[in-house]
Amino acid sequence: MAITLQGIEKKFPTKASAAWTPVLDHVDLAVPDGRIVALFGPNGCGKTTILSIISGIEAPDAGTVSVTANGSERPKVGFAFQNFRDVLLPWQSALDNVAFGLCARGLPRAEARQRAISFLDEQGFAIPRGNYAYQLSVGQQQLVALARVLLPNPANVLLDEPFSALDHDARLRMRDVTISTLGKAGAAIVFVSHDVDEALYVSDELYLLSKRPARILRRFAVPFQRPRHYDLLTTAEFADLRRQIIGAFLAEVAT
Amino acid sequence: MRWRILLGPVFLLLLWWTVTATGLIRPLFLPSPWQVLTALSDLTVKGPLLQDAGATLYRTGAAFCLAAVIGLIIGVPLGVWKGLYESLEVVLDFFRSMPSPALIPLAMLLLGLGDLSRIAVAAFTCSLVNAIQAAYAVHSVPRHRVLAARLAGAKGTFLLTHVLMPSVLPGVVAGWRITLSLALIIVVVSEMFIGTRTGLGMRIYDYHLMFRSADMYAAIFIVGMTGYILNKALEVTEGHLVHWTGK
Repeated sequence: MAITLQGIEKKFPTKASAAWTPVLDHVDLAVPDGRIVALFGPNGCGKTTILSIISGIEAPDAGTVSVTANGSERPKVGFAFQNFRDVLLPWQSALDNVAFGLCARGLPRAEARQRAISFLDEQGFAIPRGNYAYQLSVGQQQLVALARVLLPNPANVLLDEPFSALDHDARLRMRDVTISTLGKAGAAIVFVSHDVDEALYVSDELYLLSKRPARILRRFAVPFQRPRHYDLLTTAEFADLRRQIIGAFLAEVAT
Repeated sequence: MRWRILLGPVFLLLLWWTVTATGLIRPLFLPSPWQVLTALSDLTVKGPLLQDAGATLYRTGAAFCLAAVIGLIIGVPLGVWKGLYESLEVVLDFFRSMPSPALIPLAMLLLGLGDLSRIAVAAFTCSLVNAIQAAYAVHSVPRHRVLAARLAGAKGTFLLTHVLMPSVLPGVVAGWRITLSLALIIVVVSEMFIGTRTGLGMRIYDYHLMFRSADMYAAIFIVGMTGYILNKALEVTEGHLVHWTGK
């Protein structure tokens, strides 16, 4: 198992008082290599905190975290943050931002750039590569941030609303690009989205989370065959699964 | 060509010429533009003004550079360790808020009447401003920028030179913008005190005491131009050095 969380508890200090707010309430999660797990739940329930704990940015108050990488050459964790605009380096070109991960791991700049160029070409990323990060549109910035995470081929990938700023067309394309590049590399992926269609289209399994403090309410297997096509969204099986999830979600939000 | 930028100076000059030519203001208080222009050319070509400007620039430059280095040395640790900042906050704010000419007599007592005391006062105040700017700059590096860089594998020197330093630089340079003007102000004021025979501040005060109004205006004009040119030069440098400021 590439990513395993067991009995994770997490509290955060409350701003106003000395009390601590529980954010995660006994969260279990298991993602094998080559699988995609989608987290779906109400706003602010703690999905991003789960990703932070997997990545090691936050430590849990209780429970165990295990993240393993197959292949020592690869970065252990790639994390596409929700606020990708903070992540990009404004003094570097789009291309150098994409190549950043390779440079950081010691690859010479020229070689890192070359690999970034091939990657962007192969995957059809439409980015003005010579522009500084701050000269890009918000959508382009998100593409750069996504490419920066994908290029070094991390063993475990955490995607926090990775397509939120993209237009419809780019969004559909990037779903497929992300799935296919990471799928080929056998990465374990945790995918956070507010869009249930997107979460289902992408994932092998969907975890429905409760309101804060987040618990795993239910796990849904997403059995659709790969490679998937956009037509999937119009099938009866898809609509049925979607209805179950939305039903459970609405029941949770209503309480 | 943005020809409109000339409108302001031309208008001012016309106004000046009008009030002097009509005798509205006596020449002792405001000489005519031509008198000042003549004084300006005489005092720069044959007189002491260029030398004075050189002395003022040297003191300003020395204070500015010293403050840039000291400010960084103090400011970065202040930004990194919140506890240190809180411990020193009151002291820093007190001295930063103090009108620094108040310290000139003290500096002269401690360091003598020479250049050292003038440079020291300007450098002291500017160091505090730079330190606070640098501390803010360090403090406000986007958290996710560093987290993401670390997760991508950046560490040690690479993290420092490729992520942290460029993130902090715009804030540091913003401090330089403030301190360049501030250093000039303090140096010019300090030159009005006893103990120097050069410098634009001393010259302005000298002409003032001798009722040489046109000469005084000429010296004031040189001070103004010095400040203006320094600011513009740093502005252009900033645009090239840290083009990502505020992005």
